[in-house]
Amino acid sequence: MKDMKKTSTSKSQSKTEIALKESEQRYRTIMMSVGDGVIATDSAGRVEMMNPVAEELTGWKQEEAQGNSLEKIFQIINEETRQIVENPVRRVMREGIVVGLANHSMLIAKNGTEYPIADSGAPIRNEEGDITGMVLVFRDQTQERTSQKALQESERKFREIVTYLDEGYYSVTSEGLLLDHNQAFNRILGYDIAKDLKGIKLPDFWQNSDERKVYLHELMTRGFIRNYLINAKTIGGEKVVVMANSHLIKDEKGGLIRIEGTYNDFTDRKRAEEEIRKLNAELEGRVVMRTAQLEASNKELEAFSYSVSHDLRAPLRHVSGYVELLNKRFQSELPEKGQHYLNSIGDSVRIMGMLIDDLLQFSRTGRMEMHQSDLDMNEIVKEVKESLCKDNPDRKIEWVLGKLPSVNGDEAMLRLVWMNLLSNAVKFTRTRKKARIEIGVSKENKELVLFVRDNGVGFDMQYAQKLFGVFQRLHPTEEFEGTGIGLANVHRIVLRHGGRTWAEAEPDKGAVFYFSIPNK
Amino acid sequence: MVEIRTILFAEDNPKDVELTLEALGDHNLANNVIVVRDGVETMDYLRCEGKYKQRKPGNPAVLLLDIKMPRMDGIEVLRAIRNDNKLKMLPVVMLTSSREEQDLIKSYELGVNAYVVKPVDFKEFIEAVKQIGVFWAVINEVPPASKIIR
Repeated sequence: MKDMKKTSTSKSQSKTEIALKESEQRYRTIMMSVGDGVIATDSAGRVEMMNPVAEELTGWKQEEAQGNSLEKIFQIINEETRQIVENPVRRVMREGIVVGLANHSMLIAKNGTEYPIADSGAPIRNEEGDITGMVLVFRDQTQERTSQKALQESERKFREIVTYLDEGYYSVTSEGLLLDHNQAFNRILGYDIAKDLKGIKLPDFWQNSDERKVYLHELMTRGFIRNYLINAKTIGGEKVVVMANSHLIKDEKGGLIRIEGTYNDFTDRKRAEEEIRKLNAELEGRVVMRTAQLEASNKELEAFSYSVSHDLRAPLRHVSGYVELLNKRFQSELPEKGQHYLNSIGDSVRIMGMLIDDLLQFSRTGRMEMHQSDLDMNEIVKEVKESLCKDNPDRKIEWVLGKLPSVNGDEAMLRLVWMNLLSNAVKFTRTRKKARIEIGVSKENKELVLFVRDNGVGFDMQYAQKLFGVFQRLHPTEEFEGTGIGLANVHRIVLRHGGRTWAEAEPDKGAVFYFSIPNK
Repeated sequence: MVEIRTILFAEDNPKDVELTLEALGDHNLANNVIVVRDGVETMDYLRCEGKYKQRKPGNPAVLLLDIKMPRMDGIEVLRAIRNDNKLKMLPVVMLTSSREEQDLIKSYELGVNAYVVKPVDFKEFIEAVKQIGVFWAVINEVPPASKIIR
C-alpha cells in the first residue's frame, strides 16, 4: 500500500513535473526563437539563461555567462557621455517594476563591439509575489538609428536651406495661421529678421483686395501658382512687388491641410524695368519728335527746291528770251561791242541754267526715296561705258573692266555714280593720245571698294578734300567744262548707301577714284 | 489751206505770255491764242462764265496750262476739267518751268495729255512751243462730238 501510495505520489509528482517541463520547454522555445535578445537572471542578478540573439549581441555564450552578474555580461554606456549606465537589473530588483532603458544606450559586446540598443527589464515573481529573478529584453537598433540619423540630417539640411534662403518661405493653415517661415519671409515683409512668427494669423499683405481674390481663386482651382507678380505691402505699409510661387497641400481625401510657398522681392527689378520702360518711351517720344522735325525740314527743303526750280528758272528764261529777241530784231542796229555784250549775257544765262539744274539734281539725290535691290555692277558699268563711247566717237580709249561684285543698292543712284566717275575719267583723259580707264574692285570683305583709274591730267592731292564738295572744281572751265556737281552727287549717293569716297592722284599722272559700299 | 484752231493759254506771267506769243507768232499760230491769267479765269472761259458769258460757245483745240498760277493752280484746273462732263475730253498740255516729280505724277494721274518743261534757252523754247502749237492746233484730231471754236 505504502509502495502503492508512494507510487501514486510519485506518479502525480511526475505528472506535475511533466507539465512543468512542458511549460518550460514552451517558454524556452519562444525565448530561443524571438528576434530580440533575451536574458533571464536569478534574484541576485546572475545570468541563468540567454537566447541566441542575446549571445550574438553580447558575444557571450550561455555556458560562459551562466552564473556571472548581468552587469558583466550586459555592459551598457551612454552613447554621448560614454558613462556606464545603471544596469536595469538593479532597478528592476529594487523597485520591482518594468523599466525601459534610457535613450542612446550602447551595448558593449565581449569583443568591444558597440551596438546601439533599446531594451526593457521585467521582474519575475513566484506565487508568493517575491521577486525570483528578472528577464531582460533588448534589440539591436543600428538600422533604426541610421535611418533616424539620415532623417535628422536631411531635416537639418532642409531647415538650413530654408532658413538662409534668399526667398521668403512660409507655410500656413487654411485659416491663415503661420505654421513655419524663414528669415527672408520676415525681411521682405518688414518684420524683425530674428522674430519667430509661428502661430500668428497672417496680416493682409495685398495692396489691392481684388487682385488678392483673383490670386486665391487661381491657387484654389489649379492647386498651385507659378511666378505670380503681386503688388504687396510690408507691415510698415511700404509698397513692394514680390514674385510668388505657392501650392496647396492636401490630405488623402483631398482636404486642404495647408498652403506652402516662396516669394522673391521683385521691387528693385520692377523699378528697374519701369525705369527702362520710361526711358524707352522717352526715347521713342524723342525719336518721334526728331522724325517730325526732320520731316518738317525735309518738306521745307522740298518747298525750297521746288520754288528754286520754278522761280529761278523763269526769270532766267525771260532774260534768255529777250536777249534772243534783241538779237533777232535789232541786230543791225547794234555795234560790235553791243553784240559782244549780248553774247556774254547769253553765255552766263546758259551757265546759270546749268547750275540751277545741277543743284536741283543734287537736292533730288538727297531726297529721293531709295529702292534697294541686288545689282550687277558689271552690267551697269558696261551700259554706262557704251553710252559714253557713243557720245565720244572720236576718242580712243582702252577700257580695262575687272570683274565686279553685285551690290545691294538703288539702281538709278548707283548708275549716276558710275556715270559721273566714268564721264570724269573720259573728260580728264581728253589730252591723252591713248586714254586708259580701268575699273575694278580693290577690297572685298566687310565693305566692297570699287575704283576707277585713269591716266588723265590728275590733280594735286593738296586739294583732294575739296573734290567732293558742291560746285568745287580743280581745273579752269576753259580747259575742262562742268559745274562741279558730279562728285558731290557721287559722295552724297555713296553716303546714303553707307559707304565712303576718296581719291588718289598726282598732277599729270592720272587719278584713282574709290568708293565703298557695305558688303551684304 | 491749213485750219488753225483756237489755243487757250493759261499763264500769269506777262513776260512768259509775251515770249510764248512771240514764239507762236514765228509760225503764224499767235492769232488764234486766247490768254487767261489764272485758273479761275481759265475755268470761267471754258464754262462761259463771268466775263466770258458772251463768248462764242465751244471748246478750244488745246489748253496750254502753267502749273504755278495765283488763286487756282494748274493742277486744280486739270482736276476741275476732268471732273466736268462737258470738258473732260479737252486736250490739256502742261507747260511749266520745271520737271518736279510730284507735279508730273499728279498731272498724269489726272489724265494730262502732255507735259512740257520750258527750256531755259530761248531757241529751244521757241522750238518746243512751235511743236506744241503745230501739233495740237493743226495736226491732232479733236475729240469726237466736241464743239470747236473756229
